[in-house]
Amino acid sequence: MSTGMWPATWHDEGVDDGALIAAMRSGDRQAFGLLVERETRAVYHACLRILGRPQDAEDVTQESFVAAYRAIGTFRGDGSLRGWLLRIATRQSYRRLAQRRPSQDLDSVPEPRLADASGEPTQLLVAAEARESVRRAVAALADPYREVVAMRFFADLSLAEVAEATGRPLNTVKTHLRRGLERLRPTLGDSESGR
Amino acid sequence: MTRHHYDPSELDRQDSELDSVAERLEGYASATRTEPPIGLVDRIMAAIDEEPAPRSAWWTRVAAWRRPDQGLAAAAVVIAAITGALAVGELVDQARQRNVGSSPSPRVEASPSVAPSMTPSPTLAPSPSESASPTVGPSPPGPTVSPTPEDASTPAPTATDDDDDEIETPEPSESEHDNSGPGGGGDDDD
Repeated sequence: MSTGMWPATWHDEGVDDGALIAAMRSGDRQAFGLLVERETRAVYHACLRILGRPQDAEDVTQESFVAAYRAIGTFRGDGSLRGWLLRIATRQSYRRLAQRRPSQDLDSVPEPRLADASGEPTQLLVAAEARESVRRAVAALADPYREVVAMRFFADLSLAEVAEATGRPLNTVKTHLRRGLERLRPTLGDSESGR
Repeated sequence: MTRHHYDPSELDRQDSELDSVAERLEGYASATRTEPPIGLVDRIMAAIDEEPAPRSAWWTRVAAWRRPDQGLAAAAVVIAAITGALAVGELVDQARQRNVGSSPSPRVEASPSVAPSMTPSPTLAPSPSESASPTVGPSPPGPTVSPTPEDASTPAPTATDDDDDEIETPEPSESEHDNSGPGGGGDDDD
């Protein structure tokens, strides 16, 4: 990804989190702009996988960056900036999901631009229902299992990154993931793939 | 952006059913990889531009000191503040000890409690004559007067004794405070 709009002092590649964080804390909006350019895709994907609707994902992506900007002064730097940001996005997404009215979920429309669109309307519908069942099953998990499952699979973070971002020991995160998957087994572990 | 594909060894346990759940989640994630709309970055930055500059936490400000002289100056200020606080505490303790050793009379600050207890004493004087009157004769005002002097007479003789007790009671209460101070380690739960 090329930045394009940032001066030569900032580049996507080679700018480590430490320099970026120091610049952002000193009020450098360009540095935050670099973070936005660098991580918008990852944050948007995580939000879309949790929420299922592109419009909601856009809104929550923006909210997550604004929340991160406000809280950048409290970031301790224990883990990666990306993990910290994706944890914020995950939480914001589930908060948004909790605010939805039940009737809105019934109106949920399959995403129009998904990669597995094969052309057949019935297949599209089945695939959309399968995706919806995955989203609902994960959303129904209790924390911390939901958070760990979402950060691992929807935000594409490794277990080590999840452990750093949440401040939990790696073995605890592994346990949470295993228990989360065990709780998902009745709904997602059947032979029905839906993919 | 590199994806972290699920590896069954992540969980340190072989379980084919859990692996199938994980693979289904992975399949869902890889199918939901729509690119963010064009203009989303600009929209986010427009929202950021409306925000005031972020305020950093105190520990980040401390960590941000790069020049050693700044760090030394800050350390000197902290040390000076601590020594000053200790010196003031020492002076206050010395002043207290002087006051306690020289005259216990300053503890008459408990006098507000003495003042109300002294007020029944004027009623104490008429009480013997008044309380005797109902037993002697059935005069109408007698019964109404007698209960109050009897009630008032019981605290009145002890009023001076209570004053002495009040002077002594603060000492055990101070020792209680001393015990609660260092014993307040409520962090054991952690």
